[in-house]
Amino acid sequence: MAGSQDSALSSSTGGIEAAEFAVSHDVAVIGGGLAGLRAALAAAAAGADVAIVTKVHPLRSHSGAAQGGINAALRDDDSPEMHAFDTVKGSDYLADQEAVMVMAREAPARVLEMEHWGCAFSRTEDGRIAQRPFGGAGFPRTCYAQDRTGHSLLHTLFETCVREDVRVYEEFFATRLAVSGGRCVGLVALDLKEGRLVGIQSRAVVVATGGYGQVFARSTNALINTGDGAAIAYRAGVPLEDMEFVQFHPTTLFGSNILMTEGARGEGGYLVNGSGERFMARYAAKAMELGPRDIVARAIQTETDEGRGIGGRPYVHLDLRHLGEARIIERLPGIREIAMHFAGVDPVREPIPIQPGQHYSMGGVACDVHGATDLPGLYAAGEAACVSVHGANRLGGNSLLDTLVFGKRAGEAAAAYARTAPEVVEGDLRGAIEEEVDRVGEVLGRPSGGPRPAELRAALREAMFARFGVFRDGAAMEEGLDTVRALRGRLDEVSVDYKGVTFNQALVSYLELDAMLELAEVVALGALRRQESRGSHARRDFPARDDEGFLRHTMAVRTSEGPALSYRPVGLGVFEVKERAY
Amino acid sequence: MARLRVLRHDPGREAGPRYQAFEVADVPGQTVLGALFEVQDRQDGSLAFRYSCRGAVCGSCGMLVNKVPRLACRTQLRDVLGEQPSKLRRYGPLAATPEGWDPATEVLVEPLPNLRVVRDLVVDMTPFYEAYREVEPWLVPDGEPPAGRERQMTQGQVRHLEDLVGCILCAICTGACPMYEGKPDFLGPAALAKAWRFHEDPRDMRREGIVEMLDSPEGIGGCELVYNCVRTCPKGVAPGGAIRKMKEEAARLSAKEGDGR
Repeated sequence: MAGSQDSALSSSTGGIEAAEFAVSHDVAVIGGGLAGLRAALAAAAAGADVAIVTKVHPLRSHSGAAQGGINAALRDDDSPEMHAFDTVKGSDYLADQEAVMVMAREAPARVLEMEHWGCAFSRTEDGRIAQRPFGGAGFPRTCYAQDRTGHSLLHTLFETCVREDVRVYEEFFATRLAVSGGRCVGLVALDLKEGRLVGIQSRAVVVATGGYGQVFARSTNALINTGDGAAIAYRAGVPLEDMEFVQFHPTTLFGSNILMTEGARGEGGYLVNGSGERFMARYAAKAMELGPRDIVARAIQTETDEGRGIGGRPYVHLDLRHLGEARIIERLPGIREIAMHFAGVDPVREPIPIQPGQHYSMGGVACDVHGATDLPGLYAAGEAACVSVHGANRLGGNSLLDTLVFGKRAGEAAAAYARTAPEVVEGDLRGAIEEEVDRVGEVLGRPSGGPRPAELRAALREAMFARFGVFRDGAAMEEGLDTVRALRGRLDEVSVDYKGVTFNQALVSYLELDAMLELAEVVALGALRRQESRGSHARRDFPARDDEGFLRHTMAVRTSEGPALSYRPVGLGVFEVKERAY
Repeated sequence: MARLRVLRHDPGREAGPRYQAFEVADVPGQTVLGALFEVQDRQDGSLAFRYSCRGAVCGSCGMLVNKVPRLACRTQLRDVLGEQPSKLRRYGPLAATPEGWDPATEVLVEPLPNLRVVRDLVVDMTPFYEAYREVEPWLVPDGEPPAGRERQMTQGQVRHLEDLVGCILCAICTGACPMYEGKPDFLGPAALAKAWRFHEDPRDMRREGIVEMLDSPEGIGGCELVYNCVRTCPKGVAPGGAIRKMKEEAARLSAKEGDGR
């Protein structure tokens, strides 16, 4: 087409077109963080032709922001059973116990493998991988690389992928799964640099796109964590599980909500309120600062809600000064740097102002211990998935572990499925590509003057944090759900004020908002319907756990009238369900 | 309010770059990245720039701020408004200032030099990642790992690696380096520092092989130890220091070879 670029840029219907080619692989992995990279390596090792499709370069993934460490029972006086027990108790008994056993049993092998591939873990005096205490754990089993564990693991895994020459489509934003003949046959992605929609045929797809933290204000998550992968799976008819369980991390930097690792408390840091009191004594007398995250987050929220923040303001102090300069510099250099640059506070000399903030999505795409979802050919792993090993509250140090254990398993399962699945032919993706071209074209073709995506996004995030935050109650959640639905109703009015093809971030922002609204409704409805308090889901109107009614997983399926909820039993049988005390 | 002057360019569409001024709120804690979002979200959705973590760990948002390569997310707007000129060695793109820019009242935001502009502040990182691949940035251990346990290392050996391991591959050193001029194949400070990270790792068997591989005009020979990379690195990696050590090792190796003849 003559002058296609000019006409694309000026066309009122938008210039994003389908690429004139389609690419084909055995396995496509969406997401280039730890789960995605590990899945790709496993699929490649199983002989599959694999490609990673990621909206940012893999090294920009949110996995790299993980600080404190990764759990594994490496010592003779620890055991996978003890690790599993801590995890199940931490989950408030909502985790599937056999799945947790799988994770705990495979943990040592996955961590040692990372060491063998070059990860520079911090060491003990006898030259072994160092481990620190973490919240809710009965043994110091959190392996770490200073307070940059995610960074070290991500770079090591990426280096291994470079060595293995794994194909990466970087800055390719997956916007739709292609389903044909009742199975997943690939995906459609927006190539951000070239500004075109590309069909990627594959016999199996792994969703490893991370969490949806940006649905909430005050999130520690990277700005890219908008839940796109879970949303496209949901739109393809796959159930989402336990989406109402959202972890609020106790210690995020006041102002920017950047994570201040639990490792800071693992190293001996104190939490102190406005009267200089170590208030955790009143909430978890034995575990103190190392209670599980849900309990510590509620303690801080209660202190500040009741006026005992620093100077009555909505934060308390994380005090590391007694650890001494040498230890802070050796073990916690990353958070020292962040505190200095983002809050103007040197933890060696001053306490750090912190408050709870959204941190992790326990829920996600429902899958089994092989990452298999209800849709043949579609797999999920990492924070995007819900196996479920975290239940109602994840323990610190278990998310990095989840990515490696279940990333590998999903990659292997996807490769095995791809070996036997029928070939995908170009026509299988045609419908999906055409529909995506139409969808994007309609958005770009809207008249300008409507609200910008950022306006709705900000309203959504505020509403979600206010109504579905650390504490919840029925009336507030009803209002919150109404707000989410009203915002979804306004999505059609939103206009994208840039129509160009190259790096159209206004369009990306719109597509992300669409995904976020989709997921927010599931979070909201799931939370409202769960009339109990369990783990991170703390209702003032239903303060007790109700095992009879709700010791079960929430399953949400998309319908034209919104999410349809049902419930699935929890996998029990290894550990007895008990009251949780710390 | 604060004023930004931002380089805008769509090479597929426009012959050359232009500068556009924006007014943004100057609230405490506002970063350059936050200011760019204020523009993109509320004023002009066409502005393009890379971002991800907003916490100085992912390395996405390297750009020139007042002619100094920095992470936009970690740079406080108030710190750079009217700041003193930097002590970097000025080369082409760091020396030329746009007409009309008043450093006292405006923060100048431009893409990282030495990489082609894709659009606005987004540069083509392909050559940067290619240089990284070129140095074979993965551990090459001596034999199979011990079964069921880690390779032993002392904490001292790990500590020695930590600054190098901390590299986030943000390409700020690439933007700061005057040595690319006329040498587009120069591997650059980040890739060379990455190679040195493996040289220094007691688990890697390549040792001097790494230095020998990189003892070339595109490798360590391309560096004249200007140290702009050391001054601008947001993570204290000090690539220039690593390259100096590589040069010393290369000299030692060639002297040894001379002795052997």
